[in-house]
Amino acid sequence: MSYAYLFKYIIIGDTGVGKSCLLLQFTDKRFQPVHDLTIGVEFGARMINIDGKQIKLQIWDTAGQESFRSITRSYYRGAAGALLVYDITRRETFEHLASWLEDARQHANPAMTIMLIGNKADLAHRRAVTTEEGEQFAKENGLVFLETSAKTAVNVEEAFINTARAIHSKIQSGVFDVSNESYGIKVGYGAGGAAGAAPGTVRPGDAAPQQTSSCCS
Amino acid sequence: MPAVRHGHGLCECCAPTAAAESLGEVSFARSACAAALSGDYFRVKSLATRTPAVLNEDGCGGSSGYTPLIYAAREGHADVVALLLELGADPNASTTAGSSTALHRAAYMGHGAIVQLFLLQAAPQAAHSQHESLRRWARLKPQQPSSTLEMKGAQLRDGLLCQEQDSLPGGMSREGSTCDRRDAAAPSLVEAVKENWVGAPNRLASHPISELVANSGEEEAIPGDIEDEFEGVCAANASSDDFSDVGDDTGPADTEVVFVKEGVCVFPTPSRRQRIMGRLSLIKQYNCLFICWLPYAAGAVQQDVGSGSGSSDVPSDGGSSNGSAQGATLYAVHPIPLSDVRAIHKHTPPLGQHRITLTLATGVSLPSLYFQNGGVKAFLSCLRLHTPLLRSADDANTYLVNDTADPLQRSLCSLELADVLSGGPSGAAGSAFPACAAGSLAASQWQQGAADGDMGLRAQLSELVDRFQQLTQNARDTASSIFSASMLLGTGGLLPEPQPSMALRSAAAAAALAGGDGSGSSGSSNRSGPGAALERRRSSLEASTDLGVFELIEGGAAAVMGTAAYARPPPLSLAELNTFFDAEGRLTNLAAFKQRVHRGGVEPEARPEAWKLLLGLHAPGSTRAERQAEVERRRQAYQQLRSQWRGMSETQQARCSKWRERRTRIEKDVRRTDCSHRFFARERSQAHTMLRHVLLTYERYNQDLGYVQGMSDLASPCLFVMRSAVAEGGQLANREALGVEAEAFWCFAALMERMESNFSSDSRAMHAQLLALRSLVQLLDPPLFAHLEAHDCLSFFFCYRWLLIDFKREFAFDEVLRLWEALWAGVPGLNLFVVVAVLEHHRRRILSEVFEFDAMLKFCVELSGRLRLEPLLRDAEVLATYAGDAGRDIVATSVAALL
Ligand SMILES: Nc1nc2c(ncn2[C@@H]2O[C@H](COP(=O)(O)OP(=O)(O)OP(=O)(O)O)[C@@H](O)[C@H]2O)c(=O)[nH]1
Ligand SMILES: [Mg+2]
Repeated sequence: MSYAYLFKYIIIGDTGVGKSCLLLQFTDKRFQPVHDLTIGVEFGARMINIDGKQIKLQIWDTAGQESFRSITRSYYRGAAGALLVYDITRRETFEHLASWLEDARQHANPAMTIMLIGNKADLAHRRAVTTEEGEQFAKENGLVFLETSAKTAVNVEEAFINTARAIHSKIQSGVFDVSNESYGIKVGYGAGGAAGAAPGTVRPGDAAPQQTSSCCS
Repeated sequence: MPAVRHGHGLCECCAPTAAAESLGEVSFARSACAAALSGDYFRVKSLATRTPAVLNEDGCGGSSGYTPLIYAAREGHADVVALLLELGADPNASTTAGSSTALHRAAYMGHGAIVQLFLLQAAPQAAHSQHESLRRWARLKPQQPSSTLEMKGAQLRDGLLCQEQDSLPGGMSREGSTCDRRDAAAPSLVEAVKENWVGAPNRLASHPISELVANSGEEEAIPGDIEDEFEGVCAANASSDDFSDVGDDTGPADTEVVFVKEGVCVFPTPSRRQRIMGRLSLIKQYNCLFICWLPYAAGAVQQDVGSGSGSSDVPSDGGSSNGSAQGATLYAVHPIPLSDVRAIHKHTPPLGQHRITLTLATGVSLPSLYFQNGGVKAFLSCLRLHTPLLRSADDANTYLVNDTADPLQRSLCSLELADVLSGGPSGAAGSAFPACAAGSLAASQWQQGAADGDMGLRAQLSELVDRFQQLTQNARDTASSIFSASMLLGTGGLLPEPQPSMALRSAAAAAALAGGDGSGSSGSSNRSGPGAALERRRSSLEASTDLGVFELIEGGAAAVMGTAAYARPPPLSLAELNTFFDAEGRLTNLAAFKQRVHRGGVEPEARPEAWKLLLGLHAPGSTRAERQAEVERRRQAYQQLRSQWRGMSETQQARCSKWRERRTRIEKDVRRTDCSHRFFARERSQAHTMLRHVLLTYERYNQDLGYVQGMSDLASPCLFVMRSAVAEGGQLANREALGVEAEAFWCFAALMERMESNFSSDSRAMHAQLLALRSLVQLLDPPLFAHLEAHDCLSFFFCYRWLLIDFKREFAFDEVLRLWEALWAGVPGLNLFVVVAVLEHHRRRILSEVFEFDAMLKFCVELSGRLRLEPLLRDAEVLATYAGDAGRDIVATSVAALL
């Protein structure tokens, strides 16, 4: 499978907010109400298409509990995008956003694109955080904001793809030096004249370039 | 049985009168020895369990030194050997007459599987002390057992055995033997062979080469000072005078000694204080070339005074001269057809002794043969005249003798390793080490990982880093434990010797690490002068360790270990478990029980009881009745603890935010635990309720810790196993459920005693373990360590989940049960060695595909569900043996750091 770029994403937020469910919904298009809690980190990947370019998202689904924070910090390095997730039905998960943001700012590349996600939007009747509050927080901290439901899939595609789009436009406008991997971007084969294949990316001969992805849409 | 065979007069049990003798036979027939001899597993077991003393008896009240273990080993009853070792039989017990241990016996008889059993099962020291014999004899099934020479070799061994068997108590003589031993001293193998052959010319079909060898070994022995110079190479057409005894049906024309080299020696111990001098020869018979090295006569073992100044204060490695003589024979390379040799590795350093190492087709390497007076080149050119030698493309010092061998085997055994040595396809290992010393780099990583601002923890961690560095350094300073461990498995020489640059690099890395402050290069330059040569040797030892491990795991695991050799006993059944108890139900031999569990695991029906014993819920000395009472007491205690939260009023709960938060967390996580397992598959099932109760109660029981994610993963197997003790299926009545919960709770609590520190808020224990792991990898596999170091992976965070919950997420549920049993029953720190084993199993891919921390983490996370438990357990154990004292120190330090 060829791609122009590989973006590393990291999903962060309190335990139980639905990070793993969001990932599963995005990669497998299904909602599994019960699955094991995350210890350490899990991985997912999917190919998307932005402006005709194939982009591979490599997504790190981290564990939310505080006791894993010290280990989670080591995962930020080289992430191009982050989904910062809270649960709209549990206020404390919203209140912890600041400390998550601080971690991200401290350990991630400053240019990392952060998307704020209010998840479990399907549970509107149990809402404990208003949409406005979410918007407000995002605005204050320069984040993009969306309310999603991993259960109904509302806004899940958008959450991941909009983030990718933002990263992509940063590349286009030259904010990122794509040859510097600390931005969380790797150039794949087919990027057209970009730096040679980096380790972990698709190498010449693996597949014909410009093929449409079979796993995305 | 005619008394003549007992004429040695040593065996007290064999009285001269026929009556007494037959009495002896009767009692012998009832003994554990007889049961072991006939391979009667259950009889041995019941006899030895009832009366452990029989483990040390020869079956007829004598002092022959024979034990059931020796009999079982000799006869090839691997299951009985395993059983006896588990029951605590002394692996070092030896016969009075021949000082033969069970391991010797198994080796003589070619029972490779049993030899391996000793390696793995016997106390490491025991295996260690006997490893020399192992090295020589650990030839598992030869590839061409039909070769006449092999058969001959077997006969020779039998011949020797027959001689010893003659001295067996209880009239267990070998039919048709006419050996007559005249003196009590154990003869060297060569003597024995000769004596045997001379004494029984009709019984053993004579064989030119055997004769030749037997005689030459004996007659050419240079008495006295054999340290002196030798004549050097005897030319390819050795005079037949040397072999004047040769005379047989085939005629000398068919047998030609094409090469002889005197003064070729073996160093039996790592310290090199001893050497065994001997003769290397190449013999051609018909069109077959044989290679052979035999020690000179007994007494050829030299205390090498030249090698060290302080030799007097060093205890002799070989023990008594008798032992040494015997040791010498163990090294004998009886004629091996070249077709059985896979590779010859030459090592000809500009300074120091030249040597060769033979690697057999079975994957076993024989001890290096040192050419005291040079001549490696002559040897190889002579060899080349008679057999095609192919220089390995990967290593100019390795000659592949049978390059037509199965290409798959070949690629497994040599090519990959060469890749690794030369830096791999990536060239990674060839890249320069980062200027930053590993120690300080790692320390800073940990500090970054540790809770920010916690200066105390930071300080402690860097102190710990220092301590581990010290340990690793110490290990390098002695290097012997590792070195002998690698010798133990006879793997060291299979692979091309590392290029000097590699060895030096690894030494430099070690020095840099020891320096820990970026002063790596100055650290190693401190070691110039007299220490430099020593350093050089050390680094080559280290390198051979790398090779050993690598070869063990990836190259020839099957060949070296022998798949059959690792005969995993069946899981411990309930019936067998009961045999470990005495009449009152006391566990008589905890060590044997653990050993048994460790090796084979436990049947599901025996698990509840076995787990309680393993976790220490039941004292091993407790009687059945006491345990029964304990269960009741525990149930009440549990009920009381549980009522602490059950009885909490709404208002009380409302005032305790910590409790509320933890309760919510537990409730959510219980549903997210082992979701796919049938036991928990139904949501809101009784299993969930019980798991919730257990965790909530534990929160009350240990409020400082409370509840941390990962704990539900540890509690669920406890619950599952304790639930299995009660009739399967359906809902449990409340009372029964309480009982199950109580037992599960106490099991979990006991498990948490072991694991609790993993969950402490400052992650101190996790950091300590990761540091220990780092040291172990550095110790056991420097190239892998260097690779991880070069790619910023020294934090070992990629092993975090493995260690946090003891691989709970990496294996299927049932495998986890088996793994945990093995860990609880095994040596401390075995979990760390399992981690190292996982890395070793995937070493090749790590070296060739992983170039950054992210990739390493992803690689490791994705191993989940793809690991093979039994090989990992086996290799973890081998690695622990390899690591020896240094490994134990590292583990102990990490454990101490938790306190
Ligand atoms: N109704 C609803 N429930 C959701 C949604 N997303 C997740 N959940 C539920 O929330 C629970 C927790 O979700 P997870 O995805 O496991 O949470 P997480 O953030 O990965 O938690 P950690 O792995 O512990 O960090 C799941 O069991 C789901 O049933 C959602 O969009 N709607
Ligand atoms: Mg999760």
